[in-house]
Amino acid sequence: MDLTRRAFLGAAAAMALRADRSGTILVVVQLAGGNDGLNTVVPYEDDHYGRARTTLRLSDRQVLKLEAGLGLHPAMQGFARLYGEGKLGILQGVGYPKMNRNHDAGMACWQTGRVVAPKKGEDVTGWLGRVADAGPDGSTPVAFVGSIGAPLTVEARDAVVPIIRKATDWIAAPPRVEASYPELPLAQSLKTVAQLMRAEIGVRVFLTEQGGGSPGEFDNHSNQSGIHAISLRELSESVAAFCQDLKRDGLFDRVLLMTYSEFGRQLTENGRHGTGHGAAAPVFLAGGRIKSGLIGAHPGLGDLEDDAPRPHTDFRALYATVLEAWLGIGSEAILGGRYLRLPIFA
Amino acid sequence: MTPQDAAHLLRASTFGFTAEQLRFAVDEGREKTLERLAARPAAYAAFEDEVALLTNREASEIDKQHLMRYRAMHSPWQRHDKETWFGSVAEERRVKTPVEFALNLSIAFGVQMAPAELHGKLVVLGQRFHDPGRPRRWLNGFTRVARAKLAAEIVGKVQRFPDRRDLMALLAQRELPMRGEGRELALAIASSEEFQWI
Repeated sequence: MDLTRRAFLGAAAAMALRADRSGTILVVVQLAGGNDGLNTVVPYEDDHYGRARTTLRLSDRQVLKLEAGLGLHPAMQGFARLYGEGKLGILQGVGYPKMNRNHDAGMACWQTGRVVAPKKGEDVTGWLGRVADAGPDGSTPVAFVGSIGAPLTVEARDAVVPIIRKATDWIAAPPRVEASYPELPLAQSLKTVAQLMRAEIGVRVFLTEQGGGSPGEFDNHSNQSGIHAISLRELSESVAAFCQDLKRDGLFDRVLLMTYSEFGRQLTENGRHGTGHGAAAPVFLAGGRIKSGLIGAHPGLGDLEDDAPRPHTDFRALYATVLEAWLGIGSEAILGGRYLRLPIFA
Repeated sequence: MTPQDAAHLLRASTFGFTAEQLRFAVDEGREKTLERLAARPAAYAAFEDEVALLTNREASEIDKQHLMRYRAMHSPWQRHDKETWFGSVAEERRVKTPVEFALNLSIAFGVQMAPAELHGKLVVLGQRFHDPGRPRRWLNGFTRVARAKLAAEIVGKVQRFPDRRDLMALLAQRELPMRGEGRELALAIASSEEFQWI
């Protein structure tokens, strides 16, 4: 009996390791609070933007210009470098119809892969938790790295998803980090992700986060300017450091990093130099094999939904594309439906 | 009944047991032990009253964790409490749940861990103390490491270990080719494949 158990567990472990050495890796970064997409990828030439953002407006002299009248927030130098190197994709106008503008409910939609938020007490799993459940017994295809409680995204029915604060939670002697990471929480989490990747422990999907629990640091209802810049700098510099690190030994080509936030913000600045809860927002994609540049059109600002950009790209199509084209996992069972693949890879 | 048989019986029927309880069962024999574990002890009514007094409908999460730990470690009718609390979760798979893993060790060595501290470690292993949830695939590369770390913390608090023979009977289901005694042996067994199974 004991030999059978050991043989079984050994086989499962071997399967996971084989998958890791040859497999692609997905790194998902959750941005809590509802990131202001309009001051992240800035439509600086758009008159609607110029008129509505009375004090928060970023001018053509301030933004880091991309193309088509769009520019990155000036705090995003790291993303601008990646963009210039052809390693950053910006998927525009992402969301779902009639987006839920409540923090918890909106985030739960992104976390579960549904467009209807779970009811209180409803027994639900996260979309990455379902990926973990689809793995063989004894495997660890998904892990959460961060200092908050594990988000609903990795809630599984059957599997136990690792919750990692630091690499030594799992590995006695983590691989030495040669690269330089800023002393920022997201950067340190991504550094841990890089260590775990190099340790070849079989994880195919890492979830990490910036902004903490609900409502999160991206929720800027007042005095947005300075705080948002700090948040975007952390995101940009952390991801850039991570990408730079992975380029050293060829891991970058195996990695796709994507961000999401529960919603964007309204177009019109409020009376407190902040913004209200919105709808569609851009998703950032970084990696060695992504399609670089702007993907899809910027959501028009002339036809808004309760003063917020309307989404034209369903986030579940992004999930389906990532699951199928990047991880090689069937998406229908995980997302409960079929979605068209998006052109996010080179 | 051999110490191994008695340990197997107690492992399946209780949250954990001490070396003294193991010796008592061996002396008592299989039939009497089975009868004792199944019968409602006279002291149980008083225990239930005590627990009811401690129970507050608006108790915080921490209070609930305290209460469940108290119940698990002190109930005079562990078989009943284990079955009603999380019997189905524990039995469906042959692997110890995180709660069983932690309580087996804590009770065996008389170690008290702060409920909040223990709760946090159990969540990482996939289970909440006061809400055992559903059966899960408890063991993977990460949870094995986390279980070994939890075992090291519990074993690290032990003041006095049983002798080698008692310790082996207490924790292992069969003779194991392991050296050492005391802390070293306890940690080796608790981190072994053997100890993960009910």
